[in-house]
Amino acid sequence: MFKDITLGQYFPVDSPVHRLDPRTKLILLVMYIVAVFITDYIWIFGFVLLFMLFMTYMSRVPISYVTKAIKPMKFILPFMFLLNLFMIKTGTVLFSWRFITVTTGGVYQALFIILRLIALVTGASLLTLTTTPVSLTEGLERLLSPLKIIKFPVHELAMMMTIALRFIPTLLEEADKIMKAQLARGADLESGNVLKRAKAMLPILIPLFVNSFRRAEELALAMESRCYHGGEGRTRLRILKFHWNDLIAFLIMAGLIAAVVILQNTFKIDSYLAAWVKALIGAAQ
Amino acid sequence: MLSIKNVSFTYDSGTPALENVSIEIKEGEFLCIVGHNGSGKSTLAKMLNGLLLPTEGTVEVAGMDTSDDSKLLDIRRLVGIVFQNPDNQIVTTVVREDVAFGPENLGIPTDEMIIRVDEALKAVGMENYADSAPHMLSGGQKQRIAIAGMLAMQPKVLVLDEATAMLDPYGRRDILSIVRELHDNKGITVVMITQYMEEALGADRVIVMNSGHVQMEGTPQEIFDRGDELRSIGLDVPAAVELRELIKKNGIADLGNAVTLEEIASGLCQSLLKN
Amino acid sequence: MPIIIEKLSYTYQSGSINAFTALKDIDLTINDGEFVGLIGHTGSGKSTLIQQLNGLMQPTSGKVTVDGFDMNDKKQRAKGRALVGMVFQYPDYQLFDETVYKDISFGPRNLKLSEDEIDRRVKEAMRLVGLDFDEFAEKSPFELSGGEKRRTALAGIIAMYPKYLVLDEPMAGLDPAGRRAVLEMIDSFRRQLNCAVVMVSHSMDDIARSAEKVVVLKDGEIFKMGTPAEIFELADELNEMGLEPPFAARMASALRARGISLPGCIYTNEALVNALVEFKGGHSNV
Repeated sequence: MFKDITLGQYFPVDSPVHRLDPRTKLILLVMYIVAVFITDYIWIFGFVLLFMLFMTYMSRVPISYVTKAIKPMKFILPFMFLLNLFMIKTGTVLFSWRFITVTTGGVYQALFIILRLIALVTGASLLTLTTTPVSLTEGLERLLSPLKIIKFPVHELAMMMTIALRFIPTLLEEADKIMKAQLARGADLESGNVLKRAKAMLPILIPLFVNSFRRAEELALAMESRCYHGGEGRTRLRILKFHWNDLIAFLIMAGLIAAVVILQNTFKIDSYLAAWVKALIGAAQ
Repeated sequence: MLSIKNVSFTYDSGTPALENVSIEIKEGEFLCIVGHNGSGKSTLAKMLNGLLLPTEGTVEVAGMDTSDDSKLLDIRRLVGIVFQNPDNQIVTTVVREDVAFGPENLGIPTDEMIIRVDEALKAVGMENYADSAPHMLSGGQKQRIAIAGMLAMQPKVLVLDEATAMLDPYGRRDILSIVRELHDNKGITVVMITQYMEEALGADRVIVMNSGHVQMEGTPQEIFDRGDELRSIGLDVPAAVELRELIKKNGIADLGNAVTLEEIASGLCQSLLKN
Repeated sequence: MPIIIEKLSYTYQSGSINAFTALKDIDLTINDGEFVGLIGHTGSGKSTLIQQLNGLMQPTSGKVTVDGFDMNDKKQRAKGRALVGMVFQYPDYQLFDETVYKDISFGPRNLKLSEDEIDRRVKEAMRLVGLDFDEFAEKSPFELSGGEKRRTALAGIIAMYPKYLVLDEPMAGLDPAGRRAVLEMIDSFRRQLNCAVVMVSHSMDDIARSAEKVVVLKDGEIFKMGTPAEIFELADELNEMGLEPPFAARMASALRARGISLPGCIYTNEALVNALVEFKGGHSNV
């Protein structure tokens, strides 16, 4: 049953993080990404990861749900690791065989890039786990509204997102029914090569498209009947308001970025760390 | 309230859908328009709030001509339409927000909107589903939400364009009783467009459409008396009326204008058990 | 050989917290040439049950065999499925090809029949559903009216010469004339192709008119099974379940409650009037 699919993997519990204004969460995510990229040292990056862990704890979303986001990256992560490991040639040479050279700098950077990617993906995933697609859309619409001055269609974009979210479950269900109707007529969707299988999908895709166009037409009529005439002069049922917990969240985030910046400028100890990694590898050998 | 004068309509493809149709709809009336598929009744529905404009003739809503662009929003606020497919008229992913869609478009202040949405949901008995996702509801429940969406705009006229055609008997009965209640208690003018003759039973007036023109007009009683004519244009008489006529024809009893099961049953008892 | 359903249960998302049992311990046999009406409230398990008949869904437990082919077995399922034609509620789920002719030939082509045989069957199917070959064969299915689309969809299944024809709400959304036409059509090709029909419908009147056996589903279980007369005897119970029994059956039940003694098995207006004439005669003699 496609009906049971929850879109955007929202995890429905009540928590201080869930209650944050969607705009706050979107801005926090941007600030968090900045923090991830300005951090140059692994040990300072520990603070960023600590922050992430703290937010996850506060959100009451099981950590296994947050880390699920890493799963689709199981191919890209090792690739990035190896790429950095072999391409970066700073620091002391640890290992060399023909054209392959591994340096302390390489090990360091390879580990770091993995940590950064994981931090980014889990951060974004925490946002979608704690925010419904509807409030995300709403938050985006409000945040982007200054762009209306340069004629950027903010309202239309948000409306499109809302309608898409509304109709995805309906269309999935319909696709399921069409597929069954054609299977019942003996359609063979499984055998043959890629080209043959693609062709076999036509009896499913065509009714799906035709029905979607008809839906769109009927929806347009229904929206017009309900006095829809674009974003102009529109009021909203829900008014987003910043609360004190939004302020606290901003303060914590500002604290994190301040800590990162101050620590980076106080202890410039890149070489120290490289030496540390080298010692570690030496010990292992 | 609604005045349709000498309206004709031809689609771009050249097929004529309406020919010289004139209908007056009075305030507070419960009008039922019946006709077979393709009789022009749905085209007529879309004329009532200016979704379609007549090729010839005029449609006026409370004195406003639907061809006047500047009046279109006022007209659509006054005339709410519920369409056939429950899935294709719900716009957002939360019931409460969908009901608010009309008022949002009208620029109603948020405080008032909240009151209107709550009232509208209560009027259709869906107040417990305010935070549900529409795609998890049944067809009948979705149509109730669609009606609530109209009510939140505080319309004078509610048009149901085959709004029960895709529902099961249970959902159909449900929607009918809600519409009846809105008419009786809130004085809303109802225009019910349907192909189910049973739905015409409680109407004040019935109009029968056939190939683009008005074929018959009258009280349900007057219309059902012309059963053969109805059948000849692809319609039926309700089972109750058919039974009543058979009872009379076979000399069992004359039940007058009885149309409901209760009326016929008690009429029969009176006439059969008294001797 | 019949379709035999034994101890069939079906659970959606079995094992998860959302697990929902749609069918419980269903035992049902659909005999050759039989007309079975399937009724039940929305959510009673009707759609789930008919999808088990041609293996679109497989039971969580229990067994379905179609003419001896075990539908739990992937290889046998294909053979069983070829015997069961299934028409879904809306023709829009099914029509896809450029022309009516090509669309109807989709099923027969999947059966790997010869071109001559396909051509013969398409023409035969169009004749059976009342679509004029010269007028409709080259038309796009998307340009047709609602009723014509439904006929095309039906023809697409009939052309496969199913031994069992499963129809999910074949009359939904049609006007009274359209309903009558489809019902008569089903009756006529049932006789000509000699196939069994399983029809799901909300309209008890339609079921009363055609079915030989009626199955009432309630909350995933068979609530009652029998001839229309036996089923509509339970007019009040069906009414309570949100199913609307034929008007005549409800009327008969209301009259009995008021002290007019009528024989059983009344579910058409004609039968009711006959019974009333008799009652009046008997009563005035006393």
